[in-house]
Amino acid sequence: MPRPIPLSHSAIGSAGLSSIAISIEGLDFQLLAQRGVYWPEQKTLFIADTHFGKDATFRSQGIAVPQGSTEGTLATIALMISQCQAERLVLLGDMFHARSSISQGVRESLDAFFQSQRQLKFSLILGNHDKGISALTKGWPIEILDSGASIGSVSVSHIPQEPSPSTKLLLCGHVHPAYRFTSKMDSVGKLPCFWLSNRQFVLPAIGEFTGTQVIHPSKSDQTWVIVEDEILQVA
Amino acid sequence: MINATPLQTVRDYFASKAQKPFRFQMEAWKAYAEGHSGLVHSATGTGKTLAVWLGPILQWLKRNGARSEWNPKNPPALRVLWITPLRALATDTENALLAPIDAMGLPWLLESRTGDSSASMKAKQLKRLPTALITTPESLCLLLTHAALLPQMSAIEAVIVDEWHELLGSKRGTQVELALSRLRKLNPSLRTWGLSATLGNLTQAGEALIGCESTQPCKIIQGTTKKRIRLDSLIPDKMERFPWSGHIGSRMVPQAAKEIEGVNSALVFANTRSQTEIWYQHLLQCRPDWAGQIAVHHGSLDTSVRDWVENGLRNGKLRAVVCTSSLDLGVDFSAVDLVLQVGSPKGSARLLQRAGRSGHQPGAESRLIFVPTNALELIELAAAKDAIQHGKIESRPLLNKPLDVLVQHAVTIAIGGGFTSEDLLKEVRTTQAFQSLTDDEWRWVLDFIVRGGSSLNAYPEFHRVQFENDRYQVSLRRVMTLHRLNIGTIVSDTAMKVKYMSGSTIGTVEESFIGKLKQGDRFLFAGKLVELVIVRDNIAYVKRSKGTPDAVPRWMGGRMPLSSELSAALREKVHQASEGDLKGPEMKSLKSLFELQQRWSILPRTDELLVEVIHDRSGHQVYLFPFEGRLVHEGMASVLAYRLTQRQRTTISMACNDHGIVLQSPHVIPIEKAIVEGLFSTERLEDDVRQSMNATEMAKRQFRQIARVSGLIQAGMPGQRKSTSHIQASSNLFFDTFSEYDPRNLLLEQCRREVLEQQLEWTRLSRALERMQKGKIKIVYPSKVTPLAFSLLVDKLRERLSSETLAERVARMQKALETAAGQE
Repeated sequence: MPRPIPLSHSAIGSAGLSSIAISIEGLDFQLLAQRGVYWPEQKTLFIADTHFGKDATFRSQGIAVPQGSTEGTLATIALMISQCQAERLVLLGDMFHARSSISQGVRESLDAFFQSQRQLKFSLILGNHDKGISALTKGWPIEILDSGASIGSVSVSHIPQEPSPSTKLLLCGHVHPAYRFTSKMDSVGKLPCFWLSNRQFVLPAIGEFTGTQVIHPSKSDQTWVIVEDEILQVA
Repeated sequence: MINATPLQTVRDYFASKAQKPFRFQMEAWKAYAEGHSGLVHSATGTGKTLAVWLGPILQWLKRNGARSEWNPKNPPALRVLWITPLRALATDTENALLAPIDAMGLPWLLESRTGDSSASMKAKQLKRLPTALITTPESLCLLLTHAALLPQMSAIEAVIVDEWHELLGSKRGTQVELALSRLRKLNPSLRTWGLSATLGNLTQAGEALIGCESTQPCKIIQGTTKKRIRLDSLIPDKMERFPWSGHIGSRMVPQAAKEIEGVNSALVFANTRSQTEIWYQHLLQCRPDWAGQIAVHHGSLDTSVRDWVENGLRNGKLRAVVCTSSLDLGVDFSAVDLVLQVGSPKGSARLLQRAGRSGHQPGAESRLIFVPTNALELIELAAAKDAIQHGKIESRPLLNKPLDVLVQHAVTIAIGGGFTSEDLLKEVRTTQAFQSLTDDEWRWVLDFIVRGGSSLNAYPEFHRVQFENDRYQVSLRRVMTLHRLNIGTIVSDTAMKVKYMSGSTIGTVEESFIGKLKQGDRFLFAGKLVELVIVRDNIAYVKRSKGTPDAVPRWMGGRMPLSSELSAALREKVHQASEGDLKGPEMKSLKSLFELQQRWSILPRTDELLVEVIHDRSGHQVYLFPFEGRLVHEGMASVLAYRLTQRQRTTISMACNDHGIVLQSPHVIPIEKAIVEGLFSTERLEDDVRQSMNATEMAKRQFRQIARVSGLIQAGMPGQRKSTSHIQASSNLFFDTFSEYDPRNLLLEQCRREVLEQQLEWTRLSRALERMQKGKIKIVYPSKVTPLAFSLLVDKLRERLSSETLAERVARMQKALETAAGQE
């Protein structure tokens, strides 16, 4: 099987985060292999589906998952913020996995994160997993956005929906999209991807301990897969 | 009626069926009466069931001879547990066991308890268990989680494990070993009896059944009546035009149909589920008047469909059923008087078992006709006949301490009354599987269930098993519930249901197959041509269709490797052919093929390894013929290719089958030099294997079962139980998270071991290389592709050219690359 070759490596900054520049509806974005979308015009970094504390929820139910994925995810986010010099972070839903996810350890990790990101404006669209958590997140500087709220000329939501009137594009999460590359000789399995369909731009889940769902893009869709640390566009 | 002696009561029962007990049955009863445990092996349909079932009945009669005191309204307490590997078999077993109880008028209560039992029945049983209980390994483990039942279970006199060969060597078998060790702890004089088909390692099988602490050896009782078996092959009418390769064998359909015509009812075994679908269609095309008289049976069909087919077989209404191993086990279909095996049987035990599915009337002969799908398979049948004749039956190697199963068992016991470390360790070490369990491994298992893992800080707020006052137990209700829902070791595939638009389910196919279909694509399923209408909520809706199929579903896991016993017999047959010694119709029919092989190359003797080197425009090909089975060849091919690419800069593509390997390269491969310089060396073999194969990918696949058994992933279908949907994660995710944050987790280590042993057949691979190193290497340079090499060449070409779906996918990938390049 021909190995997919990376499209381009326009690294941001010296640490060499792999990213590619794309243009959708006349808007310029940077897709990052760390599963974020940076929008230079608004100095805003978009991410989706962190599912913080999912490991803690599992542990509380008697399923042995070592801790570390929440810290790992936070470190990835911090790395992208500093590389892009982002001033705002928009989390497109499912910040936490469940109420039981906000364990002592998770709380401490997030405290540390917000301590180190004092300049950052943090906005969250509540996802289906975030039900009933608002009381638990009071101590943190989180701005809650309504589903369908607009930021410049894009709107944001958790679950894919029609872009709000007067906006060109919707950014959303929820799906955890992945694309499957297989052939009879070889299989590279599911690869997390960015998925643009009918002006709805679905981001991959950034949470380390989260699964994926295979999508079947239609011909008019655009898909960018993440192959380890590279991004490449598929037809 | 006067009180007869127990034995007389039993003899009367036999007499009522115009039979007499066989000697081996009496032998089993006597051994039972003396308190022994044992293993009864013989062909199916020869009275194995009564040999073990009447032991406990006789024992009871001895103590309860007074008929006047028998009161069916007050049946005796639990005495016998009967374990069956298939819950579908429970009903038939119940009928078989009930017959003598009814005939003798015993006041025994016999019931089943499986996943299919009703909730009310289960609830009733939790209050009081019947005199004899038929259950599955999973349901038995579930019983062990109920501490209140322990007093009743302590009174169990005998556990009988049916089809023990089927469980042996699998994690379900280990699960049974552990459950038995628990029951033996509750009642040290417990007798354990097994029923088994013929196996290469019967003694070991018996030892695993009775455990290591037993003071007496396991009685191995052989059924006295050797069942007569006739094995024949369909020799193609036009042998000279019979292909050297291929896996479908559709050319043989008319000849096979003729055989089916001559009998009442036939089972046609194929090796894969897709092959059953294709053969069914071919048979129908050949005999359109058989519509409604023949059927398909395989594991992906819905239970209702399978039940219908099984009933048709039972009442003799079906002329033929094309099936996979789904009909290897269990229920006796007395109407079946012929078995056809399409394609290589892969092992002699399997061939025997399948043959035994026919000729069930006492004294009748079992008949199997082998239908080759290519010429070389005829040697395999000849080899299988030899192996059977010389008693070279495959062994089922036992598993060595699978920790995932131990984890599950320890939680089971913690729920069912709790344990102290010392006691349970002693108990599990009495099993064959865990006799060499080290203190460290045991400590890790306890850490895993109490703290989540051995690493002190990695698992905060973990709750599963509590350790208090020296005892391990579970007090959290939700932990108990979750564990009970997930007891077991069976991993179900990510399958998608196939339903008609009207709503009735016909079966399941793998998600990846449906993913490749477009709306309106036609495919063969359950013997019918259906068309995909829509996929919704993980269900593929289809409707009946006409025309020709666009696809046949391919199910994973259908490809068995040739057993090592059969491989050895095969090498022997080729050796005989090299000396012109052609015995039997199969070998004689291949005379001209052998001559051609010898004219162009040679036929290797058992102490030789044949290497054929061919140079042509497409590249340089090296064919090797170790005759070791596909799995070993796969591992060997990648090791050899890896070592060759270390010696020179080149690309090697490879293919293998049960007979050999082909390595192909655009550059000349200096194979002679490489062999001399240690190409087949077993030094650094493990490293080279890990380097050469995508070890991580294989490990991830293997980890799925481990994650399932150790309670990490939930067995239920996603979305089925809303309450657990937030704790669903894929085994891949667990694998990655452990590798990253707890790399010393012993489940990862177990996974690596299982990949080596089970996926790569490591032991066989190193033994094969040793054999090749010691033997004579015969390198020949034929001018044409030889008969032996041909199927390897075709297999490889097929992978490249003949598969449309592959071509499509490659085209898609290439298109993706072009698009990517175009945008650069």
